[in-house]
Amino acid sequence: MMTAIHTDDLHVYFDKNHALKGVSMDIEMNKVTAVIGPSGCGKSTFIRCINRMNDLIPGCMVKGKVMVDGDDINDDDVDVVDVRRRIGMVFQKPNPFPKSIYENVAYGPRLHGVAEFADGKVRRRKHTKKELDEIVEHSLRRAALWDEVKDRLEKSGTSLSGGQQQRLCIARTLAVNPEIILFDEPCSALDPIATAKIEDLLVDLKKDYTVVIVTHSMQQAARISDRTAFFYLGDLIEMGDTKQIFERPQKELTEQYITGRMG
Amino acid sequence: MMLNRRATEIAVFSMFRGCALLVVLALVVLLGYIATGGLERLSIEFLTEMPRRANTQGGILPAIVGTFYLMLIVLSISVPIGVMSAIYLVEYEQSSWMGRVFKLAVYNLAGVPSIVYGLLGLSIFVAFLGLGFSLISAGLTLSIMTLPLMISSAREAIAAVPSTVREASYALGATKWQTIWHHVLPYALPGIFTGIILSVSRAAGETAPLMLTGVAMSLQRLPDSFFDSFMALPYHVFYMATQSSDLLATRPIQYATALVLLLLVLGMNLVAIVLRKRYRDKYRW
Amino acid sequence: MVPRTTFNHEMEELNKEITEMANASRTAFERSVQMITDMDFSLREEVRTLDKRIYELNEQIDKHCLDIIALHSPVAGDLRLISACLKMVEDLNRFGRYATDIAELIDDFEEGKAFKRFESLRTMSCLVVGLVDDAVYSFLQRDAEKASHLHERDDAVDALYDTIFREILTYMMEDPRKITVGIDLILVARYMERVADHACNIGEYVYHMVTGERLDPKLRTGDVEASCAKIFEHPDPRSELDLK
Repeated sequence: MMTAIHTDDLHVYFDKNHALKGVSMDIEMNKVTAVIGPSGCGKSTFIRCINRMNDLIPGCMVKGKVMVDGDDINDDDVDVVDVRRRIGMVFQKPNPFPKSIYENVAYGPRLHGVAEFADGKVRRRKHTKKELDEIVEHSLRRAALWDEVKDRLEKSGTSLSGGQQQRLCIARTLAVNPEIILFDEPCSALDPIATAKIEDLLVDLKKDYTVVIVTHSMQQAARISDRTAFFYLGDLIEMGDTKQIFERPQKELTEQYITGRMG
Repeated sequence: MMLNRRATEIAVFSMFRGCALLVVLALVVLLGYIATGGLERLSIEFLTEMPRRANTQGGILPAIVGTFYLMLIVLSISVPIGVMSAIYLVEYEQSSWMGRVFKLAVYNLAGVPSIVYGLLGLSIFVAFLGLGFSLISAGLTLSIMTLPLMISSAREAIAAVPSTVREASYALGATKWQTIWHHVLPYALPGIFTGIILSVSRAAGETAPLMLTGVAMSLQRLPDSFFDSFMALPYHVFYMATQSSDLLATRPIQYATALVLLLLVLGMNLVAIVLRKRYRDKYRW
Repeated sequence: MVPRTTFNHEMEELNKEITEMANASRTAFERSVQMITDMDFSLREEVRTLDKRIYELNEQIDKHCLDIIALHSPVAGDLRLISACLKMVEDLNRFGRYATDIAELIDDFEEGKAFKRFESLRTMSCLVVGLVDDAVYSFLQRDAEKASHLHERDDAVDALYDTIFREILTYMMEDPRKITVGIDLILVARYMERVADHACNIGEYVYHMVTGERLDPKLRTGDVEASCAKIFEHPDPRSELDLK
């Protein structure tokens, strides 16, 4: 059991609003961790701390440590761009770029180039067409979308159905080869069949990546996650194995929430 | 009661439709008036020859060329500056005091009358910087005049780009500039083109700044540099309608010149509209 | 307003049904024992009626639990309650069945008089009635502590059964005319012993329902002396018969 992400007394303030209060927790590698809680409990705020997307919100202040691979990503000398490459994010509403499917997936790799080791230094060079083609195919396959789009890679990303668009967004994220992938309510805009496909995909992805998913559906969290964390009003109330949380929660508040008796 | 509501509906919509028709009517009358007045004078010679005999004969080629050059100057100055300012306004300094001051400055500049801009152009470009009465003085003045319009339109277009696109780009590890270049600007291009259409049309039709920065009444040659004197279509219409020797005889020339100006502006608008449509289709969101 | 009104309503209904069934089962068994101790054969009708009701409730609760699982995805405490209900209805049903069986067996004064002869049988009936009471109350009061101690008395009950069996055997061997009565009495003892086992099962279900853990099997020591010692610590269960 290795730790992919470790947070230590993490606080987040939006101007005067204390959105996250002293969250300390560990997220295990190659597991699916679900973050649940009622609206406004801080779960989206929490995962946005992990890839520093909260930096984009004016008036947002983050205190505390978020350790990934032994380094605190909130340190001043950390390259945010690199953090976001290593920690990908898929959003609630599918947001493919209005470019072709190929371009959507190739955008990320093109940004970062290929890292090469030469003369003891790391250099970055542009991808060759062949390399890009391979990356695009591999990412689309991994996202279970290749068979459906392989004959129309030049079609616009927005011409796909909702579920396909979301898988395209996942492929796009996979293309930059992250270690951790964050999902912010990825299925809330999708129909049940598309949701089921993506849930299967998430369980498959944990073989190679660490997956963290924010969801407002407890059944979804119960179905696909190994570990579950319950947030309420900015506090981490309880975290544990999913089976334990859903069969025998330790905290009264957790029991109230998951049995739907939080009024 | 029901009858009352239906009656109100019908009455109100009739009023709306009436207003719309009025506007269309106004345009039709305008075009018709000018066309019928000036069509007879419109010919190849008119468009390609220099004026003769104190503008009563010959063509208005210098004026056409002059207006064209002016629009070119406005395009090449106010579009880049306008777009870059707009990017700065939206992407970089959202709520700081500097951003607010900037916004205030832009709004106020937009309300300054064109004659005041003319005076500005006279004192700064013509006199102070020593550029004299030339295309460049007039061009620069017109550019500053249309800048607020360009910035506002571009700002609207850029701000209208949904934040989800930016978020997606950042989440993949793009820098702010990469996101702007690859996603924000392409999205905002249709809106920016709209801004260009508006700005250039305005610049092409302004007379007052031209008068103060050196438009000539009549020239027998085309300007050979930006520092040379020039003619312009709007001023030509004004001049022919007020200063020419025989007002009645030159009436067709006035109308024809106005027609040419209209056609030139409409032509440039059409090009911009076509380009806008292309980008809109390409980046449909 | 607490959300999930339909679900909460269903859970309350389920609770009412299982409470009714638990009380009916307990009463049925007590009445059947009372038939022997007080020789009040009029109670047979009541036992039969209760048994029918118990059977109906068994089916009803079974179906109700499955409906809730299919439609509402219960978790945590709700899930454990439903799990307990599904298992308990079988044991409660058995109470009713055995009560009826006992009621059918005892049909004349001979047995009654013979019953009075065997002190151990009377003791056993007290114990078992006490166990049934405690099992049902531990469920109604969600008392895991009470539920965890039930099995201690079960060993004593088993031991008593062995004793009674030997006693009655001797009784039958003395006088062959007493064999019919004797067999009936042995059957009554057997039924009561089974009832005690079922009561202990209920205790296990209640324990899991309340705490989420299984009752440790190692605690089932089979230590008869310790069990007997526990019996005499325990207050007269009969006094609780009139509660509720």
